[in-house]
Amino acid sequence: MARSDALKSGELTDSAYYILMSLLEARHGYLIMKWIEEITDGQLSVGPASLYTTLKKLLDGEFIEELSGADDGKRKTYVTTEKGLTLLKKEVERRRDMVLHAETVLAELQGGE
Amino acid sequence: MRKTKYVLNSGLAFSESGDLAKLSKLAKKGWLLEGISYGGFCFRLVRTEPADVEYSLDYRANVSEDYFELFEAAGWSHVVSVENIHIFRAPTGTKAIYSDEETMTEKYDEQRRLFGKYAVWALVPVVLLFLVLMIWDAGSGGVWWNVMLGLFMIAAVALVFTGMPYLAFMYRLWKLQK
Repeated sequence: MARSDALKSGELTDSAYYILMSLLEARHGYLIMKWIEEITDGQLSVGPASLYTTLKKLLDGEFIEELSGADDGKRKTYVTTEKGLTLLKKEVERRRDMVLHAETVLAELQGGE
Repeated sequence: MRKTKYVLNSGLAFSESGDLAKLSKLAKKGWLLEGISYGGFCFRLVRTEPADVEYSLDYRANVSEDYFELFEAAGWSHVVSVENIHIFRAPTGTKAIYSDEETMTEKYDEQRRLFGKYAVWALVPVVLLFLVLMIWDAGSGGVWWNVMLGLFMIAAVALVFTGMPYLAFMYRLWKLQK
């Protein structure tokens, strides 16, 4: 079904990155969107279609799971799995490295002036 | 009495943004999209107050209630669904339903593969019937030859209606990747 090329290679899109993060605490769809907007100061807002697609991919890869018996009935609530947490941590490392590389290069540039 | 009018669409696979922009313009003149009629070839509009709205389209098979709720929460109200096509409406300036390229690519890629599959199913009888017609002499076949010809024409039409959208989605993906 839904192809998860980026996920398979172990990289997360920005949206998937923030969705995994938001689901460290169980949330349903709308609250995921709101949470991401809040934590990024409105810099990233995930559209409903993109959110739906990404949730499905994360579910397929078992990085998140659906919580049964959520309090408000029919609304689906999701939470990040152990596997998802591992992926998120790996991604944080990857992104930290990327920042570090750039900082190193930029610092050298400044030192050379 | 309610005033209704019908507007021909250009085939959503071919001019999604053009058609949606046209609908937005019509809404500003007080014609709001209400449904899709005549086998998907026409938009059905109703007379209302002029509204400053935009439309968006998504393809999705087997949607749950959650899906529409998510759109609603983001400001997009559901207008109409036909098979796996869903059209939404929101006040102009509402944030887009697709916020990244990866998921947008997937939207069209899924459709491309779907129509690719249909087109292959149409292509097989087109080729087979074409070969039969070529080999079989028209003079000796009589009625059956004509039946074959009729079937061939039906299959050819099916191929056009599946192959063209397939190419349209291919083109869209190619443009997205540029």
